[in-house]
Amino acid sequence: MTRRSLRDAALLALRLYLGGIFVFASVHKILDPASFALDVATYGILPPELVNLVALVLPWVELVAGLMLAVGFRTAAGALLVDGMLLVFIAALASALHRGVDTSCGCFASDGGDHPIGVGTVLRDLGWLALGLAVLFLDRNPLGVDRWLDRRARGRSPEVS
Amino acid sequence: MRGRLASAAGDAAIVVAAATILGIGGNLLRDEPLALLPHEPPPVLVPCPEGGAAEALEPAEVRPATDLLVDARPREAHAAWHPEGALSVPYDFLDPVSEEAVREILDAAASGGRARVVVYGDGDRPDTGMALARELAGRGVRHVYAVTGGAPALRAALEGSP
Repeated sequence: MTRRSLRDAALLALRLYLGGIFVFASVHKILDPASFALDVATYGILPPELVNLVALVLPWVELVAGLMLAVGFRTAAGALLVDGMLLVFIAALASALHRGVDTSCGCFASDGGDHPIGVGTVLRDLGWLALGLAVLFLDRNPLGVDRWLDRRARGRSPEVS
Repeated sequence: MRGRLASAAGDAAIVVAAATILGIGGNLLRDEPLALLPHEPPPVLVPCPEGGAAEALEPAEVRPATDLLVDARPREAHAAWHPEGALSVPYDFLDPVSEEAVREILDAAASGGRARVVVYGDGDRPDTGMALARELAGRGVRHVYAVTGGAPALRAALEGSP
């Protein structure tokens, strides 16, 4: 196995891991937006008028971005979205912790199985952000749909004599 | 790299637009859609990670101005004495607290901006105040406390009598 294929495999594993997390995290929020809206409201950051809109739209962004990362389609855009969301989540968690808000994370489940927020939650998201940045800046020719489309386009392009 | 990021940002904007359509469109298809622009904050009803845990609170630590006081005693005892603003939610060990009562507590806490829900009962053993506080915590109400010693101890603390 060459060094390049090893790197491709490692980045693919990273993308599958991050993409899987975001797809998994989105499912319960899409199925139960009312519970997710309560989680969003408990953070006390958004004005009430925006809580439901964010609760309805954000899970779909998570789902699509996660799928994009996992299958390697428009991978850079998927990584950009994931990194942007993680930055927002980290800021929200840090703000809530600073204000002493006692709430569950709202990251994966709203049925009481979720853990309360803490420094560990912030560190976990920072770790995921580092992985997302690695995908964004290191995975220039991602293994997946992007590479397949790229090869297909090159195969069709007329040869220059 | 700049061109790649610019292209990714364009794709990301398309994804956000599509997600907005999916989220709002999916909501419209629900039996009970969420209001897109609610003008009132949702009630402070979120899952309690500890699962029904309520803390004991010394009577001297009760702050009637900022706490929502809930009286777990029978209505006659509540009528005989209660701190100003206290809600009457009589607790029966054999009957669960009604949804309406839980909703009334949540609405009162949210509308009054109360930081804690402080329950007091008869102070007996078992204490109806602690029983009601535990039930409320298990039903999703957060920051619930039970006054140690119940109404007699609370009255003594508030009125300064021994």
